[in-house]
Amino acid sequence: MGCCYSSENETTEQDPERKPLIPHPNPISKPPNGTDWITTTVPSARTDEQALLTSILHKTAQNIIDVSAADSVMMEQHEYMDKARQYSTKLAVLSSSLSQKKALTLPSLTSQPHQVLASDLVPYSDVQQVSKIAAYAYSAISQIKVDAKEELVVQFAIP
Amino acid sequence: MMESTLEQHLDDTMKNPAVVGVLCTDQQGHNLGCRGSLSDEHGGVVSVLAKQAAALSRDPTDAPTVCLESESGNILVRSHGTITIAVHKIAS
Amino acid sequence: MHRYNRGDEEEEEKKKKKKDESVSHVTGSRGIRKRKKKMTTAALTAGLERIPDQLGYLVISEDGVLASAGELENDEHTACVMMEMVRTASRFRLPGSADPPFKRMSVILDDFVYTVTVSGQKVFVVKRQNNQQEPISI
Repeated sequence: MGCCYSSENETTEQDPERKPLIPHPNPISKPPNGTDWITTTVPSARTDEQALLTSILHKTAQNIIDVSAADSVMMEQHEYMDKARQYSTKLAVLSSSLSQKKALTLPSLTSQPHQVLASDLVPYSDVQQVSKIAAYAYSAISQIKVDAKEELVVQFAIP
Repeated sequence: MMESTLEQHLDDTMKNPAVVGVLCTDQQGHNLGCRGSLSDEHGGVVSVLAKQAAALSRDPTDAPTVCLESESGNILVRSHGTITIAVHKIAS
Repeated sequence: MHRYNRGDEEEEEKKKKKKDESVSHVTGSRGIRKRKKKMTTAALTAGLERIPDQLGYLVISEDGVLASAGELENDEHTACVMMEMVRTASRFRLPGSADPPFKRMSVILDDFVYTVTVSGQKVFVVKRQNNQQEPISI
């Protein structure tokens, strides 16, 4: 969302476009990335080896997203229907005020439309130039490839 | 390495004395690179404009060029494949 | 001479049509003003017809197509797309300016160009022949 038309709402830190329409029922629930099980650091009196091991474990845990825990947020069907209804009523209210805003958005570009429309067309050389620039840019971009060297999802063998 | 190919291309484009800004965006309006008068905030408008203009051409090989014109200069927008380029040229 | 005669005939027809359409508006004290406004629109479309290489035109307001002719006659699709494009383009700003940095928007295709501008809450679209293109040299 950030780059599309962002200039108008940069001033407000609480971006209304990012605010959920319906408040989350359980805001304390943590994202399932498994970082919490390792952060419980054990009391002092540690050997260097153990400290090292802890830091390695910690780093590894930060690089892992536990995909098996991702689908744990299940929703009953009636709950789902309820939410859908809530969203559509909220949206109906919001869109009615939006269409009123939209009606005012035609700018005045000129007081002499006929003259502006009749003036010379954009030079063909400029059109050719920009089409070349676009073609070069596309070929530069299409050389970027994702070079996957490792499996993205790894099964952990639990002893 | 590949990314610098685009960066180099944008730099080369800016060497043209009439060009004061250039921007490259993807179909979602994500900025892939920009120079001069065109910046991050223009990516959204540029990509939407190119998408809307495509609805005016019946022939998919006839890609439209959109031009926003004024006495001081023009902003030209053109898509190629998955990317869209905007070039800001001042009147010479 | 011939061109003007044809133009006048078309103009007459359009005026008749406009009158019929605006009957419901011409009531009360605001009637005269309304009628005056309609006359201005007719004068503007007459101007559009004299643009070199024009193939057709559209005059659009928030409420819909006010006038159309030539290859753009009753072209609702183009009218809708143009309205959307004007809205999108009018959000474009360059640093240090509060106004849109353009007077005209052109959409350039191989054989023709749409030239678009906005004046008095109306969007004017003229389809012009693109004959400046040189033959492709390979």
